[in-house]
Amino acid sequence: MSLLDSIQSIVFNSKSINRVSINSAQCTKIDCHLSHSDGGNKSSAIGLLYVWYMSTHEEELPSCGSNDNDVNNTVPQSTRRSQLNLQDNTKCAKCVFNIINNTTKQKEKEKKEKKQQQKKKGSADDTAAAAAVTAVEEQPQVSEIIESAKDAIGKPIVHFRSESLCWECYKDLMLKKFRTNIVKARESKREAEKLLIALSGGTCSMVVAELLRQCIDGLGKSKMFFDIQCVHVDESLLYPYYQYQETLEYLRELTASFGFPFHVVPLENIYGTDPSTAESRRSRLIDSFKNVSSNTSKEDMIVYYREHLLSQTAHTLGCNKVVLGTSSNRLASKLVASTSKGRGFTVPNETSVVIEQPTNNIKFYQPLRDLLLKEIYIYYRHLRLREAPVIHPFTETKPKNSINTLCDDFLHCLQDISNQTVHTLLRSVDKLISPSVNSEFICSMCLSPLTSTEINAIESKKNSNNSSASSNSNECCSTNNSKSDQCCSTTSTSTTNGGCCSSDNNNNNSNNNSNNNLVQTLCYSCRILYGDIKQKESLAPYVKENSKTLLTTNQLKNEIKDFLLEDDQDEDEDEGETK
Amino acid sequence: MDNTTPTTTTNVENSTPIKKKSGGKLCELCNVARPVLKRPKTGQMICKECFYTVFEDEIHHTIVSNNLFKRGDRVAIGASGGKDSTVLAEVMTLLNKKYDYGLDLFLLSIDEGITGYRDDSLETVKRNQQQYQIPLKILSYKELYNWTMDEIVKEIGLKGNCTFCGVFRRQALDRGAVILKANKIVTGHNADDIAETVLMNLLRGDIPRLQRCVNIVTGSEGALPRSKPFKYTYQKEIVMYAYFKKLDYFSTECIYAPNAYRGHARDFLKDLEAIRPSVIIDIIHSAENFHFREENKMPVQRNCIQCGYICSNDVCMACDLLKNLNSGLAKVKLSINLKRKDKDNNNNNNSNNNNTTLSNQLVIEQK
Repeated sequence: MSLLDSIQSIVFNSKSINRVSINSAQCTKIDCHLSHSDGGNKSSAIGLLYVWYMSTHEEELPSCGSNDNDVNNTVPQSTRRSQLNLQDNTKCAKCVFNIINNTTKQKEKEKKEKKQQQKKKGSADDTAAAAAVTAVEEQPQVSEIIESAKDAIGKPIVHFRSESLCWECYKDLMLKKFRTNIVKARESKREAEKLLIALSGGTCSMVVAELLRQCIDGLGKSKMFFDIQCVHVDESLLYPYYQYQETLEYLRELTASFGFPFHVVPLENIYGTDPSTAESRRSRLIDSFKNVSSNTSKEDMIVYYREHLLSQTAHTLGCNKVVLGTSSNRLASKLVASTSKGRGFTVPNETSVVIEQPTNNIKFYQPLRDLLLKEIYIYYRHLRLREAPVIHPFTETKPKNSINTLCDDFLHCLQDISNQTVHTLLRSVDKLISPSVNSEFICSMCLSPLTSTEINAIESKKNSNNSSASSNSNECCSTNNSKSDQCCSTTSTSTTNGGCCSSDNNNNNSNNNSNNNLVQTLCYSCRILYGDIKQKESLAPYVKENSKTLLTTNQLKNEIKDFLLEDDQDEDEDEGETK
Repeated sequence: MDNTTPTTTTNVENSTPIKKKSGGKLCELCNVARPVLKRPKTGQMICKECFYTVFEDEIHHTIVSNNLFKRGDRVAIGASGGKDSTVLAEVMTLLNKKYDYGLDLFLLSIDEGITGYRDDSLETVKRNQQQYQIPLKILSYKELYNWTMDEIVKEIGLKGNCTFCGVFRRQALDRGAVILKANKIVTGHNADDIAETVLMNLLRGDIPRLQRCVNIVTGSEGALPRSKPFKYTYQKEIVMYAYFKKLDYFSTECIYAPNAYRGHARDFLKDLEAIRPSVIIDIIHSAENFHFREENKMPVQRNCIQCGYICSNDVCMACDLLKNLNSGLAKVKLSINLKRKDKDNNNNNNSNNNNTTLSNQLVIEQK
């Protein structure tokens, strides 16, 4: 059964054919079948549904706005924004607005002149009366103007947040929204910034590439100068692609047509890039993922590995900016998922437009943060680019597969109940910040800053190795012990599991000790992940390197710390002097 | 983390350890008795006695490390008769004796006046009082506000009734504590409740509450701090404790609580917990590590000009709601409020969605 067939059967079975718009209920149903760690397949599926839908319901408008679910007209007319409501949906709201705006501008000028004249006359009552008169006069004018300029008003193609927009206006709007975010990636307007686009092959990242091309070509306001390269991290080893060759071919063709250089980085390169060991790296990667006991941890590890590869590639290519195509749906879902994984400290950074990375200079950008998945897809459809092949297999992944998929599913359901869910979540996280307490101290796995308690633990450990060992290991006991016990109590009672229990502290062997140290340089959430890994040796080497560097730097710093002048000390001395 | 379990130090005083040589597993903590349960929090197979010890020690640890009480404190236990507060009463009396906190404990129950729900659960509380020999004070909405919840629901219907109940109960607990001359209140909110509230506040975008909801002590600036000794205790373990100790508790959901949205959050949390049991603690850990932008100032505390109760406006919520009830306007006001909220939401969302709100400008244009 082809993908399209499956989608059609789902939709037919759900009796929702008569719904006016493609609403998220239908999409959720597809998502249930498609839920996966990567978003590409999902949007493609929604896209395919959309294609099919458009072919059968040509005349109706897809809707992705705030009145999306207002099937029963529950929102009172008076509270709707579009007062000049084009109930017939035949006129583009923005075109109408522009026309009115242009014509009224002239009249306003005249009015102002009149008012000034009246002010000169002096009476305030007169001006109020005059204003009232003009207001009354204007009412019939608006509809007249619309009538007169009928030809200039486009046919709406999308119901965007309670406004019907025509394709031209929608295109402008998307570009405008994109530009406001992408300008944050520019440090100087003159020099061309080097950007690396991370292409998954999914719709969102393709739209990013397309929008960036438009920015370079000078569509919209002004030409922007970027030097763009594209990279695709090939994860087919772990999750076989549905159409592997087609996907790569498609990406290659498309980037070539845009004129962007294209690179493919296989995920196994996390173990090194030496071409002679490629085969062994592959088996190593597969083995290492077999040894992870929970799906959540597997998915998270892929994400961290991918991010690491992206910044590594960016570094070798000399770019210091990586652009991701994360939509607001995915960010909202990430917010909930990361909160559930204990990443509250770093989640505001992870979900913002600009992801700051404290150690290296490479920054990640998420310029599609303000756009819903559906809005992106509808845009993509109308660009009439070539159809993207579906990357991931059409497997029956249940939402309860992992925390990530469960959060995706939950948010889709909520978005269906209240279509403001995604926006509210992102607004919540806007009010949070990730303070970088000490940028030297980052988690070895996910590279996010550690909290001050975690930093203190590392520092105190180094200060007095023996005395604080118990307290430190106690700290990780609660998380790590519990995890390892629960997942692998039956299979392995080996040294690594007991590694952080205080009973083993006295007879640490070297292996235990290094694992112990590694755990210390992980953030709360990565410690849980680490607990799920049965064979700690299979971990990507960069994690161990990071951990080692962090601990050595810390040790060195400790040795010379008496001779380092700190800001606080200065203040103390100052205080002492003043006293 | 405060929930650190003193796992390795548990030497359970099993007077006659029964060694079963059936080849079955032994309790992972004491290695003596046969395990009878799998700990929901950690997945360890442990015996009943070890479970009691671990469960109580954790709460003791939470109390001690957060300095919840001082010797000589008069502590009112908010007792509804449900599982959480019953176990809380049991554990508080037990720990008070065992570790000699030197606390005077009181049971404080609020009678909302819900027939078929509260009247039955209050019977349970009365039996608890007999069992633990702690003084009990029952305070009813009727005597405080001259309204029962039954009457309020009759007046305003089933929408927004939980607002009344929540606002009134909060104040009633404080008033009851004052009558008992208590200087602290403890409630049976457990880790699940708190994690759920964190998710709810995120989903609702309620930043001030998100800031407050993970604090183990709230209202510490006032005269009557409230604390949650069960902050790190899993609901399942509380149920388990009550079950094994055969505690007498009342388990029925409130008949007037059809909170669909919270229901979603609760189901979601249960699903998450099934995937990874530590999720509840992880969410609390996340929320504890949230850092808020400085512009999110907490509302300033002051006293209600009518009843003198601490509030953030001139007139406290309870007085305001009561005034509406007494003037017969409650239903009207409620619907106005709801509408206004809708409108506000709409406006907020709009301004969030489109910075250059097209049709807003259109409207202005028209005016």
